[in-house]
Amino acid sequence: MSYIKFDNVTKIYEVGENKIKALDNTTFTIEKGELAVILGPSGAGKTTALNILGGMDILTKGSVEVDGKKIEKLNNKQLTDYRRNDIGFVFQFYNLVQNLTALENVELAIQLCKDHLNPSKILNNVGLNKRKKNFPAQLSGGEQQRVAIARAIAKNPKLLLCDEPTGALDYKTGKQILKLLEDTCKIEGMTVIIITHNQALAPMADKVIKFKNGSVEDIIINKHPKSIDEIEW
Amino acid sequence: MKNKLLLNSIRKIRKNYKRFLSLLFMSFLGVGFYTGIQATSPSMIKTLDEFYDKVNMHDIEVVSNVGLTDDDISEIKESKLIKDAYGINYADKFITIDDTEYVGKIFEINNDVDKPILLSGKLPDKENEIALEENALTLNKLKIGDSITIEDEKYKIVGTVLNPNYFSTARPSSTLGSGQVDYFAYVDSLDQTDYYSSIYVVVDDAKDEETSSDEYKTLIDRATKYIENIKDEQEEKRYDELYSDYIEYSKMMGITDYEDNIVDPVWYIFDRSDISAYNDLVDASENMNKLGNVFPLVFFVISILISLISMMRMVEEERLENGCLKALGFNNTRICLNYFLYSFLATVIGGVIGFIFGNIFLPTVIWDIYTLLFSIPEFVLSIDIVAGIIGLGASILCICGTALYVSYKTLKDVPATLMRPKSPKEGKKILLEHIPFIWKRLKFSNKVVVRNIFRYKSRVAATIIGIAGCTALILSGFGLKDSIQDVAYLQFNDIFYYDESITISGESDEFVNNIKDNKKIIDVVKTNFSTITIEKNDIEKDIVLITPENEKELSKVIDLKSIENDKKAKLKDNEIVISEKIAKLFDVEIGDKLKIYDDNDNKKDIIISDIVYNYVNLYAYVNTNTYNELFKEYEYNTLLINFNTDDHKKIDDFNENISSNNNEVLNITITSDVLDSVTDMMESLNSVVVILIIAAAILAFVVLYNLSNINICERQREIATLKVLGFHNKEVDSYITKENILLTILGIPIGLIIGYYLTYFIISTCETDILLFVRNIKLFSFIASICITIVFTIIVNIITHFNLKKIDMIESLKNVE
Repeated sequence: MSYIKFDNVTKIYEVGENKIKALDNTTFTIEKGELAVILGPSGAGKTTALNILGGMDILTKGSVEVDGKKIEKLNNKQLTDYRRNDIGFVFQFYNLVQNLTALENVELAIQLCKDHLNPSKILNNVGLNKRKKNFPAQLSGGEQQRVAIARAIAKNPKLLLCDEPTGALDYKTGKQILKLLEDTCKIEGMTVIIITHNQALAPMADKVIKFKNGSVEDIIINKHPKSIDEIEW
Repeated sequence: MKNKLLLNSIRKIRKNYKRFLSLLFMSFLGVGFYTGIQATSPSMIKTLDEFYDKVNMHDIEVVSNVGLTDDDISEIKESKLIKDAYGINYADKFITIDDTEYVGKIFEINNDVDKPILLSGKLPDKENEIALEENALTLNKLKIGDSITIEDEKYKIVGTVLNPNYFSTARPSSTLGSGQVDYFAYVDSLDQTDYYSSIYVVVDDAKDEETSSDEYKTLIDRATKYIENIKDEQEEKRYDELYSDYIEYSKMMGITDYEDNIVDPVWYIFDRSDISAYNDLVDASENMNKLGNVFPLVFFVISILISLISMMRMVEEERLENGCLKALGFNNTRICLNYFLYSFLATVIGGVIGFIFGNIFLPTVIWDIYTLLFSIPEFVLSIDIVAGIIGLGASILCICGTALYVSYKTLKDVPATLMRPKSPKEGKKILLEHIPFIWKRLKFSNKVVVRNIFRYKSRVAATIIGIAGCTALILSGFGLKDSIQDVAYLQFNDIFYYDESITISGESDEFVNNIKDNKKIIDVVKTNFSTITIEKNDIEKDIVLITPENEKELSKVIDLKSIENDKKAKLKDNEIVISEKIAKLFDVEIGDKLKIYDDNDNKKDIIISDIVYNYVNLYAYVNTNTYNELFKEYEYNTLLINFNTDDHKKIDDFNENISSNNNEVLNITITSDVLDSVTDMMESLNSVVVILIIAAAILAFVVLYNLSNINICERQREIATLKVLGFHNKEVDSYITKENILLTILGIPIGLIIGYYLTYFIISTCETDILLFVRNIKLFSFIASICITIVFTIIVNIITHFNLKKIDMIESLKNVE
């Protein structure tokens, strides 16, 4: 039994008269502790899949199971609880609360959950021990993304979902962020899913899920994933 | 459409219709309220004027104690200043309806001047037909066709009428019965052939001028002077006539010792300002005018504030598009024009609707309330174009001006900067954080709220001003009510606590002893009431001087409480005690001097020994010694009486008894009747206050709603983030609404302070010369204003809840901001 089971999921958006099929019978599985990379061009349905998996969107048809929990069966309130306790999100544009310091951004997230980690320690872990009291505007892009990751990890979620986490960062900084995510997976044992359109990242994953036109085109399992340090692009 | 930029700005309206509507509504409220209130006062005067023109209302009335003659009429008509003069007959008679006697003022129908307005039925055209005022029928459950009795003669009611002199609830005094006319009526003829009761004079050209306007007053003053000039001669003529009549009569009857029995004829000349209904309406209209200058201003300020924030937000949202347009080569002016057009259309449409709505709706509603007091059948709107243009102009200037300013300010940046997302407002440490004592004690979520408040300073300031403005307007509405409401009660219960006053023609100890013996009477206090003129620094005022025969006795009926120390004021020789309003009008204090005109029109200095509480009319008090110094020998002319009963029937019986059996009784005024009529008048003002409160409430609501909406729009991304992090709806609500609540808590006390001063400002502009409103806002009013504001905040918070719920996480986080 897989940890995450994405089973024949279809998602149709209705925009006025038009119906847009964002996902078409998509099926994949991810195991606990795996680092999965979802690859594909823009418009392939990667983000939709991730949103559904993260409880931010509702599927039209099919079934999604996370750690034995059927996501499509949850009501709004339960979905919120699911996001609160089980999911950590990392976005391309960080989405930090501008008015809170780095530390406070992390505290904002953990004030909700019972089983959280020490925010200060987490920030130390992501290398921000000296920037805790800074506001987002005083941090570089990479630093902001570190705060966002710290905020997601601090909740001690079952899943860490990252949507183009390096999309707005330069090569070097992007690499550092990926390293951080890799460590989170390998050292902390967290299940991490990364969306990217950068083919070069495929070797770092335990599992690569390739998207095209709303469905899974290919799934590759790397028996021996490379460390991000070894990958150049 | 060729001009694609224009097309774009029109499409903008469709896309941003909510914002467009909100601007439109602001302009609507500002212009509508301003022009509406501005138009109310002139409409009231115009209504009165057209009503008077329709009935050919007299401008001047001449009354004589011995009646007037055809010769008087033709002499008055001699002047070119006079258009026409009419002899009028009326008489005060008892009307008996179902065994109850009422005092009726019965007019002989005259269809040329002061034409009676027929409300139903027909005018009497035969003997023993009568038309009554409508109240006489409704209050006594009579209908047309029923009969009433006047001096043992039966009259059939044929219609209901309105006498243009008595369109308010005020009725003139009478020497009959209770001392006040209950109903007026019309009959075909009073069979009064040898003289007229009064002459109604219509002044030439006066009809063309608006009544109570300066032009009108000039015409009337000229005509009055003319009549005053012929007055002495006509009085003498009349004396001679009466004298010869009397000699003839005496000869016929064989009487020889005549001479002294003929009364000296005296003319009294009145103009419209002596008609109490007229005065009431003009006063009401003036009050409206004064109110109209304050409240709309507050509306304007707030609507400008909202527009400013709205437009700022809009320009900010379309930053990218503007950068793009700029990159395409459009210059700043062209792009700014977009926003100008957008706001201009909203302002003009809203303003014009507001102008129409305000001019028609507000005066009509306010007039509707006044119809409780004034029974003028037709309301005439006076459309005030000038106020409309001023209002609309101000609105355009402010709203479009802010639009231009905001857009121009943003567009100063180069296109490249504009096309990049604006870096979000950065967070900052606030002062409070440097006080760890407090900061550490705050809960995390409260810290966020506090910091957010300091982050969005302009919006927060606007919200606080909005809430404060709302509270202030509501409080001043209530405060106005408090101040007005108690005046009558305090005056006629706490200060003048006698039950009634009897005016007598001269001292009569026999009469006094007579009523003292009556078992119903507890106190009879002999006083002199006379109207005197006082002067200081060229200001002259007529006031009522009260001189008790015995100072100690006075305290049984009037409370002379000093405003200095709340102790009883003493009447000292050659000094005067004045009421508070007199002190205010002349700006004098205890120990200052005033001048009093004595009987020979000489001014005499008098020292103010004390100032006492008083709210209605202007009164002053002296003792008999002072009185004798100033005027001719003291004589009491007014008896102030306390009964041992509250029974109206018993009191009425007593009054009827003394007035019909004693010739010296000129007038009886029952204090509770005065209280009732003054209270009625105040009631109408109350309703105006209600309108103000409702208007303030609407405004407050719009402001809070708008600001809350803007707040949500500005922070959509932040809110979406919270949702992703797993905040429940309730938690998201509290994140935002906590701010609203805190701002409300901050805004309310500021509003209460502003409202407190606003109330007093409005009161001081509303007060007439003879009224002093109580400067006392009740605790209830404070609580009510706070509660209403809180209720609005709660409603807005509820709406906010639904708006927050609608925020879509995915949409909000998808794009770069």
